[in-house]
Amino acid sequence: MALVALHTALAVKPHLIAYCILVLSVLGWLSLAALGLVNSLLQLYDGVLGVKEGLVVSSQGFSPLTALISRSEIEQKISNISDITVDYYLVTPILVGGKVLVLRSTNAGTMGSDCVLIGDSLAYELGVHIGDHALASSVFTGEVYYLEICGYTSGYILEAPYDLVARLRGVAPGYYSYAVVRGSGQALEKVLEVLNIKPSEYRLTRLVVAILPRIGGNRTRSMVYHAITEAYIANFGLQRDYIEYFALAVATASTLGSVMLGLDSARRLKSVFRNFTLMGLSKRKLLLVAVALGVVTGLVGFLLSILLYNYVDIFTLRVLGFTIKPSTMRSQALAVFLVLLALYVSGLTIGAYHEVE
Amino acid sequence: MSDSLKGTRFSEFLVTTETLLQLAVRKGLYTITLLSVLAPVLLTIVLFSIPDFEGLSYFYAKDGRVVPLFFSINNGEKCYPAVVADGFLVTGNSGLKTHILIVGSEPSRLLEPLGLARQYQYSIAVILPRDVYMRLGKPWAVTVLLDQVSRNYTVTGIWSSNIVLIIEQSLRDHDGYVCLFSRRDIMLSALKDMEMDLLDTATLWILLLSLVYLPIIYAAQRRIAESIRVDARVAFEAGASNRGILISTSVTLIVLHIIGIIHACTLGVVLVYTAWSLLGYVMPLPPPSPRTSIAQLLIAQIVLGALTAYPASRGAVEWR
Repeated sequence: MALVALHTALAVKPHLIAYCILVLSVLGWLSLAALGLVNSLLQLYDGVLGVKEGLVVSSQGFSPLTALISRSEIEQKISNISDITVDYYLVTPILVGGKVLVLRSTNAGTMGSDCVLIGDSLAYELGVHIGDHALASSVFTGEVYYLEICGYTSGYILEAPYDLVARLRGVAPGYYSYAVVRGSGQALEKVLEVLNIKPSEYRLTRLVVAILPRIGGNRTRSMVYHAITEAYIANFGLQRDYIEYFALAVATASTLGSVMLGLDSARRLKSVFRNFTLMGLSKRKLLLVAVALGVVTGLVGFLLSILLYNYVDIFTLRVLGFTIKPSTMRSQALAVFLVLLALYVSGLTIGAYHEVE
Repeated sequence: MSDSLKGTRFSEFLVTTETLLQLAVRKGLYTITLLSVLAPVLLTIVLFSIPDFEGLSYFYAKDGRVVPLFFSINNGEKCYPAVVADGFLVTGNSGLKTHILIVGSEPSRLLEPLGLARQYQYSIAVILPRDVYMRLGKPWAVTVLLDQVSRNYTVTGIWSSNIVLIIEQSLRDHDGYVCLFSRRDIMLSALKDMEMDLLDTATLWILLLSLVYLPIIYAAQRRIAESIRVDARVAFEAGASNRGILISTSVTLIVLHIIGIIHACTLGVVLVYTAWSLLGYVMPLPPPSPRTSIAQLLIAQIVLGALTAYPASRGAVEWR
């Protein structure tokens, strides 16, 4: 009879179920978008610089765009370690018109001295093509440079020969913003050890960032982080954990209304519950029907919210010419689903309990 | 309708509304309103109280360095018409093709802020890229061939850039403007843009959240209206009109909604400042900076709540 009750509830009030699914799906979508945007902000530099894996070695500063490392110093330290490849990059913010863009050095040797490659996504957004030119200003030297678009690269970045980037950045040859060391796990552990980081202080993940002391600085502390942005926001006193807790709190708070929605649904299903009570369905089974109804509605609502999250791109941010889109981890999506479901089912069950009583 | 009758009806409406409001509060129905508005109001306060990004620019506060920016339109007070052209630099027997930026201005206005020359009093200036200057054999003067017209210039200075800079008082055609901005202004503008973008996204998010909370607020108001139904019926039996009771109930719901929003708003402010002072022990956090857009969003939420009050009352407190 419980199944019949569930079927009746679904059949008698389809508009109510549809309305709850709609509200739950939008609530779920908003929660996922909030979490996803914070996640993406925490991985801003990984995205801007296009670094997805390896050991990133940089130095203290407010951003990898302003930090500097000495190539000879790093090479001296890691020269004895085999089975690794090291790529050095110099990046600098440049101003083209009023826009702040990121220019990175490239090892492509065939480029002319004024040549830059433009990221395909950036070229699309700015509407520029091969052969176009731009006047870029350096915030470090206060000089204007002539840049000619010679080709495309991927993402939202501009790439140019090292000499041109160094001139725009105002540094002498041999200085870079960061180095990416790639190799086996064991080799990377050795690299971290020669950088004075104790093996117990880190856990090797997909991407590890080692922050060296500032060049010429007195501080000799080296630290390891799991994302490039994380290493730099720490300078503003912001820890990744606090930001994630804040995002989770926002996401959870936004779904609080689903309790009220559950209570309201139970009130509207009052007649169904009463009729089945009169027909002899026990209170426990009626509550089970309410839970099952809540789970079905919550599940469909959440699946719809995933669709909205994937196909409706209205929550974006633009930083350094880079368009940030929400990116939520599976564990966070699961957490949102569980919170939404728990709140809705609780409301529905409490409401059903009161109606039956 | 006579004035005295109007006055009687109005005082009747006031009495009914006051009674319903008192009953709703006594029955603890206010909690339902508070719960229905808590999330959108609290999140509005929290998200729009994030620290001001301008505070991050204090590192550049004393930096008076100037950066020239090229715009296609006149974009400020210190803007000068400019054109980019390809030309030839000739000196003695050697020459080379190069890009030239010609700016129409009194040279001292650009050279002095950019640190390229001090107290420059001539009407024309030429700044060569360092590598070009070396390749040409460190000349003291160059001939510039531009649009089949050649002119001789005395070299004013050198810079690290890859473009020749010519500054002369008269410029016939231009395809843009070179504008001077301080590094601090650029930094502030970039931070402000980032903050605006973040707040715009937050506004969109809050508005959508407020809209999706509309059915939840309606459900809460409907529940309150149903709970005061018996008391409204008493007023009806005592002679109050159906329409008057309907309006009184709607006004009661709106007043409860406004009080709920103000209450949630107060809770939000307390939460933000408590969190800031507690987290201040763990990390150096800049103070919260509540934005004026909070008021606009709260008004929008009050309006949305007022829109649902009448439909919520209609089914609950109507008799024939």
